[in-house]
This record gives sequence, structure tokens and C-alpha cells, in this order.
Amino acid sequence: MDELNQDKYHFTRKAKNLILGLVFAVLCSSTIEAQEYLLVIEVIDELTKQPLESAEIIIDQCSCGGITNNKGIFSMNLPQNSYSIHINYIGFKSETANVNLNSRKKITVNLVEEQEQLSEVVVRAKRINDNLELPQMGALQLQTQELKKIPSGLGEVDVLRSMTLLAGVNNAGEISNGLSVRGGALDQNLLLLDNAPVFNPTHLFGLFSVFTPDVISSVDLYRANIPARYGGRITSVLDLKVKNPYVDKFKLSGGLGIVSSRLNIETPIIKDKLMMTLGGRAGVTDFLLPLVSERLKDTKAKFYDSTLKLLYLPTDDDQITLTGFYSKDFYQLDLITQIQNINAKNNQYDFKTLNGTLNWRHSFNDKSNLRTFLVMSDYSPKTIFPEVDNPNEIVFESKINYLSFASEFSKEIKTNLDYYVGVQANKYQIRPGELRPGNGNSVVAVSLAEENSYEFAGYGNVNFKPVTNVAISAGLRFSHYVLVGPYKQAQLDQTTGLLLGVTDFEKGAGVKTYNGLEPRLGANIKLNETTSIKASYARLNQYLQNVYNSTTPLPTSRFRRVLS
Amino acid sequence: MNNKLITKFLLLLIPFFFTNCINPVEPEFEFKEGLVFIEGIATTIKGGSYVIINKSVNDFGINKTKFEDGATVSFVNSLTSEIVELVELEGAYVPSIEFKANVGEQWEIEVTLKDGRQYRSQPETVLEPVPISNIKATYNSELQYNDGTGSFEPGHAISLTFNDPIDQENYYYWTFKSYENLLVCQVCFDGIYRDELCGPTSISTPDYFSYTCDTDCWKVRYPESISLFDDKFSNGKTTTDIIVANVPLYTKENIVVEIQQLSLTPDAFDYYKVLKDLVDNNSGFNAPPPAALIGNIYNPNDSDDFVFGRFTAAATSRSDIFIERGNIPENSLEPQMPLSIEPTFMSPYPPPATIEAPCNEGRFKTAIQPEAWMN
Repeated sequence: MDELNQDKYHFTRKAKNLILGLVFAVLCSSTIEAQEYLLVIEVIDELTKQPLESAEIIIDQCSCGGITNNKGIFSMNLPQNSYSIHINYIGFKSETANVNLNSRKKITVNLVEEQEQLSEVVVRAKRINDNLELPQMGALQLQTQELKKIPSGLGEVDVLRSMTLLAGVNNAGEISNGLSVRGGALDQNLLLLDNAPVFNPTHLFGLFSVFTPDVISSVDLYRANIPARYGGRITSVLDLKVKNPYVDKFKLSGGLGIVSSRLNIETPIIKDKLMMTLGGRAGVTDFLLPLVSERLKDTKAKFYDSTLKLLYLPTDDDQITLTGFYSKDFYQLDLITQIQNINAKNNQYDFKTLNGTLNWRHSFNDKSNLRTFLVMSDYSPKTIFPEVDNPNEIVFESKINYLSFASEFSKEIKTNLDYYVGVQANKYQIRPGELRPGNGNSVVAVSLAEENSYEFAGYGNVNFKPVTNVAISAGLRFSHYVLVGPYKQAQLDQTTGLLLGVTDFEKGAGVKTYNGLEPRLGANIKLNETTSIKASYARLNQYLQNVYNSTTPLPTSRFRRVLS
Repeated sequence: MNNKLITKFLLLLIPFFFTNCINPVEPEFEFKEGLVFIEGIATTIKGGSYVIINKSVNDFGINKTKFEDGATVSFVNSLTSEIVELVELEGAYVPSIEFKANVGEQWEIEVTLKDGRQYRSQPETVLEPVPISNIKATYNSELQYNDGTGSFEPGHAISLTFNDPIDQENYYYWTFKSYENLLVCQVCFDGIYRDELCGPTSISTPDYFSYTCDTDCWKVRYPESISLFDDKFSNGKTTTDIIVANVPLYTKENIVVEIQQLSLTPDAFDYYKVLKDLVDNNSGFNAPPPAALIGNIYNPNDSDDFVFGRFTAAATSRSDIFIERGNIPENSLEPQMPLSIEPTFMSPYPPPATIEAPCNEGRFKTAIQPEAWMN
């Protein structure tokens, strides 16, 4: 019995010891588990070495975190462990730090400012070698891919804006209707889209250019010795080419934007024979303008442009293209100076361009080809005056219609000698202005007499490299300009300005004639692989001017033929 | 070797001699003190003629123009040599209320400043007036935009209809006077009104006391801009409802608007056109380029003394319209100060206790009821 009691006593004691031991072990282990260390995180700007306040700290393992204080410090007691810490701060690149927290630790995190990384755009004069080896001065070529990379206002790819990045080219003010090259006037630039001149190159009174961006393949700008094949403007030529639709399957692309939305289609019509590209753009988001300012609530601003190009390949040696271009703008702006002397609620501006080019290129062989084109360009700006208290609209409209035929033969005789020769005939038909009262009777109808003039030109150019390092380009353009009747020419007293008499010219009779001989010379001496010396000389005649009495030409400014 | 390096370095430096930085430059305005501005109009309606003479001054660093008092001003009939003396009245020189020019007369002005400088104008012929056939006021809760407040202001647009004569070139100039019922003729801040003046008192006062007019009284306002029109595109036509004046809702008191239509000579029109372009049409991308403002006033004794301004004699047609404004829901533009009347019983202020002020006749206040006023 005693033994039994003794055993029972031993067992109880062992159990007690075991329980105590277990409790001790549990206590010990929980003490070990609860061991915490202070983690201090300091966040600083790597560039300025200044602390960053309110940087966000997120610690994965504890799903905890916080923000840094005004000294850029965040601190927290955490159990011993390995932690992954994410540090974020607006405008800076996020960082992640890994910490094995086994003692009190302080880590310093340097954040790097995040900058918008734009892809590099290299704007260079033609190809590098061309620039060094050709006698052409002040020329520049941009391809579509390069144009698209150039940042532009409100995400709109813009040819004219891109040109203003070049030396000697600017836009003569934020809202100006074109380019000013080397201080020249805006109407002294010849803007060609597939050989058809564009008389008003901008939408939104100069904010964007009219050229449908998705269909442009290349832009050539000539600022110095303009090649002999171009004439009619004296400071520069901007020659835009529409993409040739060499496609074998249907392609559709488009996009929506704050300013405009666009759509582009490329498709074969007859496989390997007839192909088409059609691009269009519309800016109809003027309903958003009141969000910018209450003052703009009555402002209307809509624009559209579209370009079509058909490519027909009848034979291996012939290529026929038809390019059509249409651009239209409509604005009603209360912010600008209203036209006086016509009683109207407001002024509305409506102007459109319609161009067409039929181009045939025939290759005789690899070295010679003939290019012939027929061009029509029509520009008609209108100012609309809605009458007060009735639906009638008074309209003032002017118009310029341009027709051109040109043919050019080019041949490469040797690798160091090539030439081109050509002829061109242009007709300018200008309707200076027509004021139409509509159904109302508040204004007198006015119709200014139509003016017709012709420009005939012949040109030729030779590129020659007499020795390896010397290149010469010699060109000559002869232009003959004539203003023809019917025309009434007023004779005015030079002192008093009084009308002395009027001379009547019959239809087809020459009123005024100009002849212009325009040499275009360029020479290049290449000194080494990276250096060349160039010289050039050019003489040009301009027979068409834009007349305006505001600080910058308006889309509605009149074009005038030369007469003095 | 060193010489070569130096030569290369110097060659490298050459381009920098031909370069320059483009920096934005703050425009500098050359302000001259002592320039004289004379603006005179002689019209065919009584009370419509005046001459204002200002001089450019710099007061405590602020460039402004200041009325030139003490001058001797007269209208001279160029054909009869009749002389009409003008008297100084609240920032202008005015002829007697009975004076009016007549169609066909030629008038000029003679001005002698108190420093002795003399100015004369070229003679101006008064042309035939063109009658106004209709006048209309249209309320617009968004009459005009105020750049200062960034919001639209309510008010009335006044429009006219007239028949343009077919046999002559006509140049129109519109201005107006407006008459609003005036309840308070004087407000004294930190003082009281005695002997037709606000003056301090030793007894504390509220912020202000208002003194009502002792007779019917009207506040006269003048426009901040003018309207111009020529009949180049509308010769012989009826111009219907052309807006010639904007009358903002300064107060909600009833108002008479008295439109004056002046028939200008081509020279006068050209002058006001340039002036309007300089003042009103000076911004935006279609702003006309600034032109020199050359008037018709000169110093007969000193050809180098340039004086700004112009004297214009013009036939005037007038048309008045009464507009009720009490029921307009929009708030008036001028804050309305509550009446604060000086106590009349047991008044602590020096006697006599005053609650009214006279409606002193002047350019900006009149007790003469406008013809078109309706009670």
C-alpha cells in the first residue's frame, strides 16, 4: 500500500515537474518568439540629398507600413524576421529593400526622380552623307516615323510644328497661320502636298497643320538654294509626300483624341495593280471648351481633313497615282475682333481646301524616267454673318483656284553626272471677294471682278561631281507671268489718289507681264569624312501674295496676284 | 603643339562671337509727363457739347491723366466768327445749356491753358443727321464678359434701326447717356454732412451716413466704349436692330438710355476708328496693327508741340428709351449699401440734424427729369 502510495507520489511529482518543465519551455519559447527590433527607414532624394516627407512605406510580411515624417524617417518595432519593404513617392521611381531584421537597424533609401522617357528623335539634314556630299544647302527631310516621335501639342502629330524645331524656322507667334522661314512672311513658303499647293496650311487658326498625319510619308524642306523644279515662292519650299499604298492586305487603324479623332484605311483593290490609302481626321470636341472657361461657351471650333491616294501600276515601268485632299474648318469665336460695318450677331469663319493630283511616272530604264502631273488646288474661305433676330446669313467669300501641268524628264548619265529638265504651266484664277446678302436686304451685294493669270516655266538642273570631293549643282528656271483680261485697270493720281481713268482689257488680253530668270547654283567641297564647305546662290520670283491688315494673316486673308 | 592647341581653341571660339541668346524682354513703356489730350464735341442737341482737357502726370509713381483746370476754352464759328465760351464743370468744359450747332455750320475750338499754351483745331463742318427710326432694349443675363471677375454680366443691349441715305457716304458714331433714379445723393464715411460737405465730428459715427436726395434726382452715366459704323456695305439700306450700346445692370433702378447718333466726317471717322482699334481691338490674332492717332488740334505758335485729341462737330440724332428693371431676377453689379440715416430725435451730432442732401446739377447728376422718364 505504502509502495503504491510511494509510486503514486513519485508519479505526481514527475507529472508536476513535467508540467512545470513544459510551462517553462512554452514560456521560454514565447519569449524568444516576441523578440522585436526597431527598424528605421530613411528616405531621401538621391539628387538633392533632401529627406522626402510622406513617402509611402509598405512592408509585405506584416502587411503594415506608414509614411515618413518631415525628416524622411519612418520607424517601427518589428519581430525578428526578413522583410521586404516597398517605398513609393509620387514623381520618383519606386524602390524595394530587403532587410533581415535581427538587430536594431537603420536603412537609407535613395529615390530617383522619375522623368518621362521620350524616344530619341534625330532631326538631320537629309542623310548624313547627303549632307556632306550634296551641294544642296538648308535642306531637311523627315520620315513619318520621325514625325510621330516629335512631341506635339495635345498629342497631335504636326508637320509644321515639327519644322519649327529647325534653325531659321519659326511660327511667328503661337497663333499664326503657317511658317516664317528666315524672317520671311508666311505667304512666302510654297507648301506642296503631292505637288498641289496648300494655301491655308493650318486648323484652329494656326494651332495644328491641316495635313492628315497618318498618310504623310515624308517631308522635305528647302530653305536655301531651292531646286529649279520649284518656283513661285521666295523663302522656302515644304514638299510633303503622301504614302504610296504598297499593300497586299486590308489595314485599318485609328484613334480617339481630345482634339481630334482619326481613321486610316489601306487596302489593295486589285491585287498588285490598284491600291488605296484613305486617312481622315475630325476635330469636333468643341463641346468641351466650356470646361476650360465659361467664356468659351458660345465658341464653335470644328475641323476635318482627309487624304485619299490611289496607286495604279499598269506596267512594270509605269506608276499612276491620284491624290485627293480635303480640309474644312468652321469656327465661331467671340474672343476675336469682329468685322465691322456688317450688322450681325457674330462672325463665323468657314474655309475649305480641295486639292487633287494626277501623277504619272514612266521609267525608260533604271537611269531615266519621265514624271508628268496635273494638279488642281482650290481654296475658298468664307466669313458668315448671321443676321440679328432672323435666320438669314450674309456671306463674304473669296476663292483661289490653281491649275497646273508639269512634265519633267530626269536622267543619270554617269554616277557623277545627272540632270533633269522640265516645263510647267500654272493658271491662277482668283475671285477676290463676293458679299452676298442672302435673303436679307441689309447689305449691298458686292462682287469683285475675277482675275486670271498664267505662269509658264521651263527649268533644268545638272548635278556634277568633277572630282571625288567636289560636287556642283547648277540649275536655271525661267518663268513668264501674265495677268490677262477681262480686267479694268484704274489710273490713279500718285499724289492725291484720285481716279484719273480706267483702262478696259478684253478677255485674254495681257494686262501685265513679268519674265524672271532664276539661276540656282550650289557647290560643295568635302574636306574630310566629317567636314564640307558649301556655297549656294538662288534667285526666285513670287507672283502671288497674301494681303492682310492684321498682325498675322488670317485663313480668310485674300490672295492677290502681282500688279504694279 | 601648344600653339596648335591655342589656334584650335580660338577657332572653336569664333562661332560664339556670332551667336546670341534669345531672352524674353519686358516691354518698356515710355511715359511722358505734361502731354496734353483734348477731346471736344459740338453737337446739334442741347447739352450734348463738351470739351475735356487732360494732362499726363505721374502721381506717386502712378502714370495717369489728370483734368486740366483753369483753361480758357471756346467754340468758334469759322464762317461767322461767333465765339461761344465754355465753362468748367466737373471734369469738362461745357457751353451754356442752350448751345447747339446747326447743320452746315463750321466750328473749331480755341484753347488756352493756364500756362499760356494755345491750341486750335481745324474747322469741322456739321453734316446732315440721319434720323433713328426705332430703338429697342433687349435684356441679356449674359450681356458681356468681365475679365476681372471671370464671369458674364447681365444688362440690356440697346439696338437701333435707321435708314441710310443712298446719295452720300455716311459715318456713324454712337454714344449714350443713361439716367437712373438716385435715392441717396450723398454718403459720408466717418463723418456727417453739414453745409453741403462731409466733415469729421468728435462724436463717434457708424461707418457711414447716407443722405437721401431732397428732390427727384437722376444719376448720369457715360459709356466705357463707343460704337462706329460706316455704310460701305449698306449704302441706302435699312439697318435693323444694330446693337450700339451695352448697358450693364449696375443697379436695378429704372433707367432712361439716351442714345446719340453722330454723323461724322470721313476724317473724324478715321480718327475714332484708329482710337477704337487701339483701345478695344488690341488683342487676339486678328487685331489690326496699331496706327498713329493723329487728330486735328495743333499749337499755332509751336509746330513741335504735339497735342493728342480731336475736335468733332457733328449733327446728332437722339433717341431715348425707358427701361423698367425692378423685376430682373439677376443681382445688380454694384453692391447696394443699406440706408444709414442720421438720427433726428435726440441727436448727439451738431445741429441741424440732416437727413437729406441736394441733387447738385452736374455731368453725373441731374434733377431735370429725362424726357423719356415714366413714373
